[in-house]
Amino acid sequence: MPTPPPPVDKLLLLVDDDDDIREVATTALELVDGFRILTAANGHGAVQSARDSRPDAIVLDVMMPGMDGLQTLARLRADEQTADIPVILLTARVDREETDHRVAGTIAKPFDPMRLGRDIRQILGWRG
Amino acid sequence: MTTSDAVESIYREIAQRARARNRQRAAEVRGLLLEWQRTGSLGAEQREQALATTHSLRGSAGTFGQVEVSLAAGELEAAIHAGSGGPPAVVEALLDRIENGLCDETPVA
Repeated sequence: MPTPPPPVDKLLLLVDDDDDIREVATTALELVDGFRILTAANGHGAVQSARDSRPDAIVLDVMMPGMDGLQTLARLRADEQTADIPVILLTARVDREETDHRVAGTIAKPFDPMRLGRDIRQILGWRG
Repeated sequence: MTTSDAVESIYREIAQRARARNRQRAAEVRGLLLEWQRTGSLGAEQREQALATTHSLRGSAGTFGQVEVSLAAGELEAAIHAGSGGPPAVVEALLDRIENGLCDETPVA
């Protein structure tokens, strides 16, 4: 039986169109870091999940087909129910997104799933 | 089994699936390249598809430790983006690197 991680009373919404990346990140964040995880595969799903579940933070891939991450971010910020939820962007173009003041921070893609939780906590100032 | 063992076991399973999915992506880009070579130009929709697929390949390969494949996919993305007229010669070489890196004999990280 695996040793359970220390409990973290935080709910994250993970948004990425890649099935495998969602799955490995969810596994690591739940089993290693003890987060509760919701996932969405696209921007529309992300906006709906954010409204329904009010996660403590959203980890949002930028490059997604259809409504991309920045368009999703704009929708979240325009909705008073989701405007204050911290957002971390997952992007291959960190230099372009790092000056976007609408986000709490960025994590470079490709990311190490085993370090993702630590990077999230560091950006948001959550103790781990 | 420790948490680390459990995570590693699940990770390897997902990584194998990702590799198979990335082989499909590489095959898709190869198909678009052949069309590009045949016609001498890449339509806007095909270019967008090639860029999107290559970008996904780059991110997925990098996430699962296939650094060389990820780097080659990044270069391929740039080459497709910059290419006008027929495909640059480098595109085929990059696809070869990607396909070789995704073959079964290369161990999962």
